[in-house]
Amino acid sequence: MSASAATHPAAAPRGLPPEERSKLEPSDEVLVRRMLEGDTAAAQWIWRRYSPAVRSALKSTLGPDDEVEDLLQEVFLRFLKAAPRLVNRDALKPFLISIALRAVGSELRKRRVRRIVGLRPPEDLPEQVAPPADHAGRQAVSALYRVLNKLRTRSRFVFVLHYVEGLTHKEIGEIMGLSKITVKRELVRAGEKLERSFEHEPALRAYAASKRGQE
Amino acid sequence: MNEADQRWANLGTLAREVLNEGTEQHVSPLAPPEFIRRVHQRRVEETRKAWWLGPVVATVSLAAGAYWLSVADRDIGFSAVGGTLVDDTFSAEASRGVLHFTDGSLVTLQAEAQVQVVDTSPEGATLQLREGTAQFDIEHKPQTAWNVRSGPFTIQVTGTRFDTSWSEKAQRFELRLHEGSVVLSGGQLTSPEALKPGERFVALVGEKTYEKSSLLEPALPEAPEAQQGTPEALPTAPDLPEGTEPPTVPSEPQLTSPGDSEWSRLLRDGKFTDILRQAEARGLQQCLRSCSLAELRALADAARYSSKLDVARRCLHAQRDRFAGGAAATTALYLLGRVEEQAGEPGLARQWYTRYLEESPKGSLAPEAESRLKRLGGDP
Repeated sequence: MSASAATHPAAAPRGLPPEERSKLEPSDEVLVRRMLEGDTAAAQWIWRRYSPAVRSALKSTLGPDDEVEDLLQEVFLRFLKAAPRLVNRDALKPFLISIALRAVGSELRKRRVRRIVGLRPPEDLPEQVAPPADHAGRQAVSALYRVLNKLRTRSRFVFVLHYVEGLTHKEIGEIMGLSKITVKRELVRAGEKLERSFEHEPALRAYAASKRGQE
Repeated sequence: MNEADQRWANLGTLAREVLNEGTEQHVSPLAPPEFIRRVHQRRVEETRKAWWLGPVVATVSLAAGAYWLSVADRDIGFSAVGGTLVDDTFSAEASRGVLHFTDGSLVTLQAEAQVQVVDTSPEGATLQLREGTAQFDIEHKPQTAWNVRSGPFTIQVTGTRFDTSWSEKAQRFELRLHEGSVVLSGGQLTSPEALKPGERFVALVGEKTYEKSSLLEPALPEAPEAQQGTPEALPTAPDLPEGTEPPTVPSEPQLTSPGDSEWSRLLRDGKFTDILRQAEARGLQQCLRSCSLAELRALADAARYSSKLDVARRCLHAQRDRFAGGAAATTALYLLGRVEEQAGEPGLARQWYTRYLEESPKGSLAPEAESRLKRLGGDP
């Protein structure tokens, strides 16, 4: 069994320009098949190809948090378990993101329980490690996630996947098993809730009224 | 993009920037590829040690998945075959088009018809027939909630099969009920009107007149100035409910018994268990041999709706054997396909739909059979 992606028989030769390499890289279907046949290098390829997208989806759905890396590993663990049941092996990204959403959903539920029993203060959002480049922007994002915490999970995911991750209604529908109409309806609901929250979230209101919020 | 949309998009971009600051500082204590390698190798070894666990886990997972899918609180989705789907509006254009809903319901649009999917929910959908004629075949489920708006009327639907048409120009509304029950409201009706299978409701909205009649009687005529552009009505002969088979089908005996109206009434009221219980009290085998066609149909429907698929199969086979050559025998082929789909046997379902199309290529259920065949991956 090969343990290195560099020696993987399906790997593109080194020294090629990135666009040529990407043409020669194995398809998702090939990677899943080889991974299920026991090829560890194929599993590592999948990690390299999709961990950035999954990390991004985890960050945006969870909000400012330091548990993203743990959840990322959790997602790939779940993926390795679920891979034999994967029907559409050429659609790995939506499959992985749907696993990520379930992991985040379960994390959010745990947090709500902790808040109810008083183990975690309601506005306990960990501070970012990086220095604040845009203080007003950071405040607005913190306020955004405080409001998202009050939305039902489905609305939160739809809003974040559309506006933060930039996915289309159709892509969100496929990932979450919703119709396009429902996706649109959830977006409207989330938008209305955010509008109503301006009163209690001055940072969000200030951002919305600023040039950057309106451009 | 409207103003609010733009604002949220800008906020989303900002969130992405803020959240991705310092990404490189978040490094897993175990380098990811190494983590993946270890976990994957462990899984491979576990799989080798317990190879028999695979099929067991897969079976259990599939069953759990199927159960989850059946109970999940998800809005139903839809896809279109033929015609044009733009956002939520589906137009059949020059030929028929079919909307498939994930709960198994079908909406078949005649040429030039247009329907808008106004809303969907886990229990059903709200549709607006903007123009033309459409046939609705709504899957019955315990919590089914379907509404069809057609002109000024609203049709409240449970599990049922009906055609409806609306002509904006003629201001003419028509509803023809073949199976199940619907409640009609709006228009010139002062109170909701329940329709039974075999009934037709026609309203000329401009003239403020309406009429309820049997499907065997001629319908209220269209407004003369609008007759030319009105879509052709759907053929209904093979779909007519009990006691309404046209007398031009000599090979299909019209057997009736006192149970006919009783079972149809129970079916309309959703009392499927009562029908099944009465059939068992008579003796199922005896009923399959001697029940009237209407009773067999009601029993098959009750069995399908109650997921007693074996009983449904036996009824439909009896319908084919005893009424061979008639419309009911052909319709049974289509329904056998539905039963096999319900049973999770797409291969068998494909065979029944194919047989239906072979026996009745221009039958009233042919578009549905073709669409279902396509969806199941077979050639119509």
